[in-house]
Amino acid sequence: MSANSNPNNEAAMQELRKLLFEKESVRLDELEKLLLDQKLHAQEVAKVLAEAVDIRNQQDEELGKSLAPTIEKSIKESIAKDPKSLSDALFPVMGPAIRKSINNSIAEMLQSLNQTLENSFSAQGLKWRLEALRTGKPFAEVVMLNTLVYRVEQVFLIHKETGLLLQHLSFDPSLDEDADIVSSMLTAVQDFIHDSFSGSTDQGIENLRMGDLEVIIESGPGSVLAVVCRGNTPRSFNEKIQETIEHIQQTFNKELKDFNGDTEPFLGLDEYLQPLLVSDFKGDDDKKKKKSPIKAILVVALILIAFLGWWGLEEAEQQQAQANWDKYISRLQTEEGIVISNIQEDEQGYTILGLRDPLSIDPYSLLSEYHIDSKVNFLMQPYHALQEPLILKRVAQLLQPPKSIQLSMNHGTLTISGVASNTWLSQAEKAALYVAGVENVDSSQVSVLSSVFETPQNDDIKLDNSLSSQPKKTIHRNKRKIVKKASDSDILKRAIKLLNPPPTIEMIYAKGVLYVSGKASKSWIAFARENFDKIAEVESFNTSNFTSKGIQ
Amino acid sequence: MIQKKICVLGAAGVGKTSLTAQFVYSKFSDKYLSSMGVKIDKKVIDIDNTQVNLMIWDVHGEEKYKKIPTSYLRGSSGILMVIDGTRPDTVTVAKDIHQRVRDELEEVPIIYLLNKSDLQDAWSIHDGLIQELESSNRPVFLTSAKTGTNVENSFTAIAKAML
Repeated sequence: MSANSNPNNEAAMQELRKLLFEKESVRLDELEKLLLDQKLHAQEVAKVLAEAVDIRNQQDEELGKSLAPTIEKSIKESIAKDPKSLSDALFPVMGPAIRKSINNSIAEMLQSLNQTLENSFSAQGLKWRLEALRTGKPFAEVVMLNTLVYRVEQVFLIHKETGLLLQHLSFDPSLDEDADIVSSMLTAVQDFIHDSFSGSTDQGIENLRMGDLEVIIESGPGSVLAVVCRGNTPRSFNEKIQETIEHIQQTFNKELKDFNGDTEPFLGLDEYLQPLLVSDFKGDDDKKKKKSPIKAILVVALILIAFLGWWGLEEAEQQQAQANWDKYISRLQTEEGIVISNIQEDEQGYTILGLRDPLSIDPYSLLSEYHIDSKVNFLMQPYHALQEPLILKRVAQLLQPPKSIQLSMNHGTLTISGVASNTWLSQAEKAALYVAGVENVDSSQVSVLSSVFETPQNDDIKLDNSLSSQPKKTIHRNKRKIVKKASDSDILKRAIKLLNPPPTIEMIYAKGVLYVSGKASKSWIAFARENFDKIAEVESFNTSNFTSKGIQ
Repeated sequence: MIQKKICVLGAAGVGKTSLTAQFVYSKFSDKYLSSMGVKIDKKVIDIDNTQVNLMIWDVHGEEKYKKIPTSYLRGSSGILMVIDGTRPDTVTVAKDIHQRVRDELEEVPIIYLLNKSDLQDAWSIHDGLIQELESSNRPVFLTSAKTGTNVENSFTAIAKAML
């Protein structure tokens, strides 16, 4: 018989179990309850949670990693639910960070704007505008590149708490000696300003400025970086300093905390600080050094060019003057009535010696024609030249012929033609022979007026006594015609004879006026106009009824 | 090289600046002391073949209305506490400062200098005080900035105590 089949047995077994394992049973129930009851479980975990997190954090970073998504999610949910609480919590942190960032940006913008304005309208500005066009860079950037002249003179890395110098770099080794005192003093100054003006603990001095010298100070938790610059540093340089101190702080965190005055562990800092010791890419000194020789060369070259130009000009002027003088002299030599025997030149100018016929051209009048400015002195002896044009002039001067008379010379023979009074002609024939160079007088072509009213313009012919000489040849008067006082018809006949008009022309003479009408060629009309006054007593020529054929 | 910051403290007129001037070459003039309340000098000394660069902060004297700024104490590795041997009241001031140093700094060596030891006639510090200080493990030097007595010894002693 089995135990299951017998209820009595079952009950007995239960009783037995109860008697034997009552305590264990109760404990099992409690454990079961503990396992199943979430609330109780949480209470147990809460007791050890902090310690557990601590232990795990010391072991590795896994806890942080696994918590990150949850935390991100909770922050998101928190912001979605009520942004105010989180922004309130972050305000003390965000405020200064945002302010600092905005200040930086504004300062950077102002710096750029100031420089842009300063340089926009200068010659330099135009040059930079061209550069900007050429390189495609923004103008502001070109200005920045050209104007930011600065030099970092010293870099101090200072232990924040003690003010002791951890590392120092400078462009001038002589500054190294007292760097530790400067470092301490800088710290004291910071403390002094901080205490005096009750700055809040998280704010430090960022900048000290004296003229063009600037000390930029960046603080980390354990160290302070002080950079001494001369000139205008770009804003980006401040960022570089900030990055450097962050980097140093990260790398030397432990050493900075445990610093006991031994600077040995910080020797490796050189490589972090060296990049800060920069000087500006377009140094003033370099510019000057490069520019000065160019300037000097330019100046010398300009002086040389000016001198050569002046010298060349002088030389050219002299040559021109010489050429003008030569031309003037050769002109004088070809001029009739002037003989040059000698030319002297001295500081005063020129002296020309020789002979000159008073009737020849005035040599002074020719000076301006040849642009001669020099002083020219003529020592010319007077003489009578025997060239025919001058003889003719002399004859004309002596005889004073009326307008109706023409004189000409040919191989010593003076030919007189035209109309003249008998008195004038007979005097002239005699007088002309007294002029040197006149060998014969031919007056066969002269028409003589015999009227008592008709007198030559000049009756008295004065002989040039100084040059008077005996007549050399007889006077040819054989062909001379004696003209009496003529009637109108005689005058008309003379006119017809002289002018030889074509048949189409009709001429009438009355009271000194010759009236001409009809048709004639132009050449005849011109001939008639030129010659009508050669007809004695004809004073004017009336052609009011004239019709020109216009054809020869 | 080891660098250490030490502060020279005490009541006004006890001879802090004169003691420091006896010991160092000064770069900065005393005007810093009156304007900024501190003047910093340095001296490199040799302690058992170790070069120690002492940065000496000569802080202005403590007065009733002009307390020593605690920010100047920060980072100090040792203190020279100066008492004027002819003025017993400067002992009280020194004890006051001592207390503040303890509050501000972790345990740092402090050496007491009883200055103006050349003025024996006016001397008014009892030997009891010296014994009291020495018994509480505070070394005491009788110094004279005027004659230079014990000046170098006291600076060397503080340097040794700091190492």
